Amino acid sequence: MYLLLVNPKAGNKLYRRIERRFIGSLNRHKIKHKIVMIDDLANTADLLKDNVKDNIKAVAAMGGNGTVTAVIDALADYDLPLAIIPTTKTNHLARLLGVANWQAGVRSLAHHHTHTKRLGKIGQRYFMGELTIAPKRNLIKNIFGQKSRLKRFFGVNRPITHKNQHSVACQLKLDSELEVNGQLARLDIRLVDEGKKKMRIQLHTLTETGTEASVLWANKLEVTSSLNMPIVSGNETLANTPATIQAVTKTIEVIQPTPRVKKKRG
Amino acid sequence: MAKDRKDFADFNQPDTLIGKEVVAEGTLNSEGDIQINGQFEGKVEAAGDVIVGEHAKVKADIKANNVYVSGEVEGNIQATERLEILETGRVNGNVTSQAMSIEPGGILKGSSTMQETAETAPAAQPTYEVEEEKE
Repeated sequence: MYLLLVNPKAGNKLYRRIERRFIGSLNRHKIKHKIVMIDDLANTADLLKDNVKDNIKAVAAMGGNGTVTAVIDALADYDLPLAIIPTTKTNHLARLLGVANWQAGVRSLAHHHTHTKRLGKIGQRYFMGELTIAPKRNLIKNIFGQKSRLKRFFGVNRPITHKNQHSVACQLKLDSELEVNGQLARLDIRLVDEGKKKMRIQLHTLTETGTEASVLWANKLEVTSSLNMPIVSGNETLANTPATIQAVTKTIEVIQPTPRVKKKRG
Repeated sequence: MAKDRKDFADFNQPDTLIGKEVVAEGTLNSEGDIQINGQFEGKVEAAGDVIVGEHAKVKADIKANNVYVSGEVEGNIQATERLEILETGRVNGNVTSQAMSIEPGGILKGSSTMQETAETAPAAQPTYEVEEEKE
């Protein structure tokens, strides 16, 4: 049986609008389930504690980035796989796993195809996948800088030049053995699932001609900066600098849609 | 595998890279290749190759398989295979390698020790004689 933790407020209260279709879809796929509503994300750990019984084979988080992060946080102490059913268009982790919408989420539950993913930790919070650290103005510009048909219609689809980039003096300490200083425009941190245990840290620094990337690897990263910067997973701010980010040895089983195999002709 | 100059500053390679405007200090260890284009002080150890870019300033002892220098290095270099000092390269320290080349314009201030390769090293000969058994 699946334990479905649903955030009814996520995605502009989408769940209330799709509830009948969603349950119908679960029944059609013969997915045994128990639905529990999350009234407050801070109570997720308690909800999990009260509802995880022996017959629960996996937990599904239904909502946006905040819901998924809260469930990952709470689920780290259990040995249960996690499924994601997005009810927002900006569910970053669902997108990473290839779950485009709630229908695809239900299909992934039906197939129950699991993958192991690494977990990272910022302070007391767990995360999965990628993190971005950048000055707020760069993050906003990245969102509004994306090409859109509407912007093309008005002729304002201009690429961001390095003059528009903002940088912050930043100091990184990697595994307490390497200290790195630079004018940071953006910092991408990726947890590597396969083999290598260290996090891949891509540091974009500002130069006269644009930005230049540096690539470093570490298990533990301490970030300090002259200005506080948000640490973002998808569009969810998990923390602010100064912060310590760690790749923990813990992994989590994630339910992913089965990859479609193209049939060869002839 | 030895690298050409076209391999320098290749961001697609998933190894360690220190950019031009970055200042780093400490110990840099890698299972793969390391490329330094900025400033570095400390110690560098790589299972693969180390490339010191044209604008790089490195104050460190370097230990790697192949070492290519086209910037400034102040420290000792120990290359298991090959050391190349390119035309803009400058090394202030002692170097040890199996093979070494310095391009015109490249500078080495220090001693150079060439290690023998397994092929060139004389094979150990038995120093004793075997008496043939008499029938």
